[in-house]
Amino acid sequence: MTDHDDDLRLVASFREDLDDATPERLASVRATFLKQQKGSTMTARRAFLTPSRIAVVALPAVAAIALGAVALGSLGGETTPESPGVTGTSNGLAVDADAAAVLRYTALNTGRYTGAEHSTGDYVYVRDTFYLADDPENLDVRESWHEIDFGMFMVLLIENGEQLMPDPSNPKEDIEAERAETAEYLATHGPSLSIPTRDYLASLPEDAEGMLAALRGGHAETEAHVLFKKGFSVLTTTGETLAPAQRSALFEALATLDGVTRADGTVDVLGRTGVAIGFEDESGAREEIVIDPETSDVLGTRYRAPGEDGWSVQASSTKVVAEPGDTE
Amino acid sequence: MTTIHADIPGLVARGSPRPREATDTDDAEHVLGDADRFTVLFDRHAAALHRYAARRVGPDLADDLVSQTFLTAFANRHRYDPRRPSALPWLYGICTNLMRRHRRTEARAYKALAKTGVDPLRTADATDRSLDRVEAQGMSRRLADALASLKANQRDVLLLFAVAELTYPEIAAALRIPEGTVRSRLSRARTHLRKRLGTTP
Repeated sequence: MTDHDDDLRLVASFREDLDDATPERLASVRATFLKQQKGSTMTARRAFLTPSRIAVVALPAVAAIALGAVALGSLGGETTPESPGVTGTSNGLAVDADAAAVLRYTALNTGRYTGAEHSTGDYVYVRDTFYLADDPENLDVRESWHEIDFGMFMVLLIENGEQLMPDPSNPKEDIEAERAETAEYLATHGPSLSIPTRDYLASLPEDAEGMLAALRGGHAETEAHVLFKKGFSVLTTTGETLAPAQRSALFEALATLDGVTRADGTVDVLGRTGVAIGFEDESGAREEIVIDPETSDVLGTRYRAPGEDGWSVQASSTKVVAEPGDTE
Repeated sequence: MTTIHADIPGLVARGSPRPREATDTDDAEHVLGDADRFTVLFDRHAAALHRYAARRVGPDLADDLVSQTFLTAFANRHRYDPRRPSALPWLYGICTNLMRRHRRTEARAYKALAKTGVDPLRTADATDRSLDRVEAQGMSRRLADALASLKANQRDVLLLFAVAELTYPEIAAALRIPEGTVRSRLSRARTHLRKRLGTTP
């Protein structure tokens, strides 16, 4: 740290002279952990055996979609003559269409998505306008640039006009070392959906099963919500580089995951209206991606922390550009 | 290592599976193992976690937090990213989340120190030692006042960076927030801190 890191040095030294926990104290904490761990395992076993675990709920909306009962072309809330009793939205979907139906419908419309041409050395420019749940009045703009060909390595990050990365106030930051780690990782493990290259993205399968395998990345037991988050990330970062058939396969793959649900009606992410599809994990956190099922555009995302009512909301867009700092 | 942040949609973060100090075996082997193997993690990391927690909420609450952290970690061990050789950032994240239940306690202690000059987290001996350092004590009071007035999420990031010495990507992974958010929260926390301390940016 340098002189202008005095504040950090001060924080680092705050209560530094408090006594460390003695070995006896830690041993007592360890014993508490082990005792609680044994108790929680028994509770979990009992919960697993309760009858409610095997209840299966049939969703009417799924059946309706399976039968092709999708209302077309009417505005939200109106009953359509094509499918009496089923209300439609401007997206041409039944308003009560479930998440899987929305995703499958979206998969049909990826041909209308205008993806970007890209070549070696290009960057993905990501622009997010967002507010956080604890500060909804404060709208921030975050822009970042990533190397498509190099694991989506972030080379520049600007928030509200202030450069945060490379961080001018943090001399400890060693971006070259991180680049070297990325290179080593790519050389050792090869590219993946999380750390892609252009060639890898171009080679992605064009069928749902293949795309699901790519999301799993060789880990067959990966939980559905983790796969969904991976798919989220692809759509909101490198999604623009996918061919329509790959994009379609991705939406179809996401439609097969258990536990994915949609928010009621349509959702506004900072003036952009779409359908919110998401997942609530075991902690109670819910994450959603807001899409336009007519075009397969990703409009934004929402996040709600466990036990809280407020949402962190952001509208997002991506673009392929030639240089860091370019926005067109 | 740069990677797409897998936890918060739409944002990209640089998450680093960087190696830490050498260990006999990677933590992942113990995270994904049974309860007995999991205790290896406790023996490796409990002291660091306790120290971090005690500096925020005191040693008694730190006892509870550390045992709860490992209990939560064990219950959620399937969520651990096995590419990460060290489980410590992950454990810091769990501990920090659990600590949110004690935000008022933490803030009350900062405010008491700021107001009276006596840190409620210290034993009498430690208070006596610290009272020898009058100048340091004055700065501690101002710092406590600044920490008390920080937004909780900014304080989390600041303390994970400055006290736990995690990197940006490690904090992002620990708190399951994008690295950009880590950077902006840290930047805002430091700006606030400097203003309250009266130091130049």
